Parts: sequence; structure tokens; C-alpha cells
Amino acid sequence: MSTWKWFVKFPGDNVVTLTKDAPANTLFIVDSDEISILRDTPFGHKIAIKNIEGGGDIIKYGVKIGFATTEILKGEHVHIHNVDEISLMIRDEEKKRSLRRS
Amino acid sequence: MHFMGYHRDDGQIGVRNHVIVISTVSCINPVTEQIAKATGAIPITHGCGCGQTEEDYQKTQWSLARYAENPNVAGAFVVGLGCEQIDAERLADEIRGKPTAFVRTSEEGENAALSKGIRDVRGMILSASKLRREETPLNKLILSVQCGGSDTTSGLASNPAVGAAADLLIEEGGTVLLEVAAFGEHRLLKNVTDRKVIEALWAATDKGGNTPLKGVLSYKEKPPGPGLYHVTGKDYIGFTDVTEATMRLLSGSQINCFTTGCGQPMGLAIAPVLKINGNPINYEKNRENMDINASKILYGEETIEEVGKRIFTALIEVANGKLTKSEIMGHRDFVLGIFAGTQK
Repeated sequence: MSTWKWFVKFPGDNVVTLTKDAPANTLFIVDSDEISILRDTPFGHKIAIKNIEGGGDIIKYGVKIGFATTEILKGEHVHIHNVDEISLMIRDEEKKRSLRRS
Repeated sequence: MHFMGYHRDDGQIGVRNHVIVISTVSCINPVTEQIAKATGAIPITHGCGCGQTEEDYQKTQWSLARYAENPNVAGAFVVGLGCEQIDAERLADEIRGKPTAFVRTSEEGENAALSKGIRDVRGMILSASKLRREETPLNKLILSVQCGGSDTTSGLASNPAVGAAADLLIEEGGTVLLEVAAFGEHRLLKNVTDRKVIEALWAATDKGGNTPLKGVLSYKEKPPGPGLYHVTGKDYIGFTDVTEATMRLLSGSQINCFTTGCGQPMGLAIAPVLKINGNPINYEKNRENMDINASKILYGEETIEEVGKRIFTALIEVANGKLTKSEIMGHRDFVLGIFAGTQK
């Protein structure tokens, strides 16, 4: 697990968890990649550190915790408005596939 | 390593030395409470004991007996009415390994029952007070780990820190009972090969640390030996933190290690609850009822292992008799799982 003042990330994750409220345009360096937060995002919420396609896996703690219900951009807030839970993914593989096709 | 525990006649070791007063049925709760208030014993009241199906009331009686058999209990006094399904004498007889007594108010009259209850409970408290703590190896310690009022910090800080503490306890021969919760199942599963265990553990947690899982138990079972166990398979109603924590005590667990992000105030009637909070804001707001601040993990100021060591040290202190915050706050919760609907 790496932490850097503003966020927590585990190896292989494509999201980080904010450990402080982060105003829009806050700049992060994550694994030598520069990330700019797109909107004001509160403490404890997730930010994508890579572009994630619709249907793509959300990786946190090094495991899949859900999938993107729409395209998620690097720096974007990752929450229930753009993620479905992994149990749903297991129950409904078809939904995930259809998201990939669209 | 050792802790200082109370050695019971049945070989179990308590970390507390409580005398309890148990209702057989909800109708009798006021008498139970009055006996407890007059003596300083702990009242165990509930909403069951009558009007249940045969199978349901048997399960309720079984649960009350196993609760009273918890090693933290020095003696149990049972208060009954007389017409209910759970009979006071039968329940008192079913409780093994410690002094018990009972009264039925319909037989004695309420004032006389109150008087008998106070006299008998005072006797139990006097006997219990003679017991001294003795040096005990950590393989006699059964820790329940649980989370509730979870938030974004639970999976990042408090749960893995408790997992590190659980690893240390198991290294010393201790036993850890893990309940269902979210996040971190991958760490548990990487050393597990039994497919049944893997399926049952889909939703289990980091709170078990990196120790391989020994097996899956129902709430009715006692752990067969030291190590890490997952507790699942319940047939009672009740999903609150306090219900789950109460039901874990039926397996003989003496301490509950509870991670919370929001600052769950829970305490247990007969067992200490050590609370770990990973949320820096909520820890500060609720520090009077939070034992360990795990939030420095979020900022890289403390490692998971360092906080795990602090939790382990605190666990031994609590096992030796140091009070937890919720004990000081006077929180003595008992919420029995409700058996309803097991009828055919």
C-alpha cells in the first residue's frame, strides 16, 4: 500500500482513495503519472487514475470491487453513479458484456 | 506470552468475572432488572421465551444457556414467571460449569422472588470475588473480530490493522472468530484450497489478517482448536452489530475486537469490546468511546503492522483486566438473535 498525503493506493489499483477533501484541479503524482482531479471530491471517495472503459473492472485493494457502468476518465470521481457492485457483475455477466459492446 | 485470567471449574478461562441475572421470558424483565440493580449484577433481558414454536423456543433456551456458559460469567441467576415455555429450573440446569440458581415469581410471589434473587445473587458475587486472576497461555484466548458502522477507512486502515493483530494472536496459539463483512477476502483466500470455504468466504474480511483459515463454523459451534475461523450459517433474525456480537459469545469468545468508521458506541454485557477507528474525523469526535486510532495508516505515518502491534498489546491489557472505553461508558448490551420462522 502506498500513501502520499492525499490518497491511499494498493499495487495494481486503477483508483485511489482520497484521505482529504480534494478541490477540483488538485494535482497528484501517482506512480510517476500526473493526475488532475476533475471536480471537488470529498475525503474517503475514489478517483480514477486511468481511463476506464464502460464495463471495465474497478480495481481497489488489488481486487475487482465492481465495474464501470459508463466510461470513466482519469481524475474522475468513482462512485455509485458510474460503478455497479461486483456481485451484480457475477450475477449478470451479460450486462457487463452489453456495456462493453455499447 | 500470557494473560491473567479467571480459571473456571469447566476449564474455560474468563477475562471478566461477571454474575448475570437472566430472564426466561420478556414478561419477567422488570424483576430481572430490579435484582440486577440491587446487586450490581448484569441483567440479561430479551423479548423471547414464550409464544414460540417448539423448535424456536428450544433454540432460544439453548442460546441463553450457552451465553451463561461464557467463561466471563462467574455465576448465573435465572428469573422465571412460571407459565412460559422456557422453564427457569430447566434453563438453570442446562447451564454447566458454574453456580446457578433460579426463582419463579408465580410460585414465590414477586416480593419474595425479588428477595430470594437478591440474596442468591449477592452470594454468587461474594464467591466470585474470591477468585484471583492466574497466568494463562494465549491459546486460551478466543477473540471475535467484527466490523460495523463501517466507512471508507475500514477496509484501508482499521480492518487490516486488526488483521495484523489477529496474526500476532494466532502466532501465540490464540483463536480468532471472523464474521462476515466486506473487503479483503483475497488476503484470506490465498492460502485456502477448500472450495466450500472459498464460497463461504466471498464476503469475509481483512480482519483475519494473513493467517490461513482453519475452517467455517456455525454460530452454534465452538472452535475445535486454535487458529482462524469464519463464523457463518445463522438461522436467527437480527442483523445489527450488537446481535452478531452477542451471538459470537455463545462460542466462548471472551473479547470482541470491533472496527468502526462512524464510531459505533456498542458495548457487550459480559465481554469487553475493543474499538478501532480508522476515520480521523470520527475518531476525534468519539474518542471517549474509541480505544485505538488507526487513521495514521491513511497518511503513511504509521504502518498496518505498527497499529496491529498496538491493538495486540491493548488486547492483552484488556484480557488482564484493563477496562475498554465502552465498559467505562457503562454500555452493557445484550441483543439475542430471534428464532422465528424455523417452524415447518
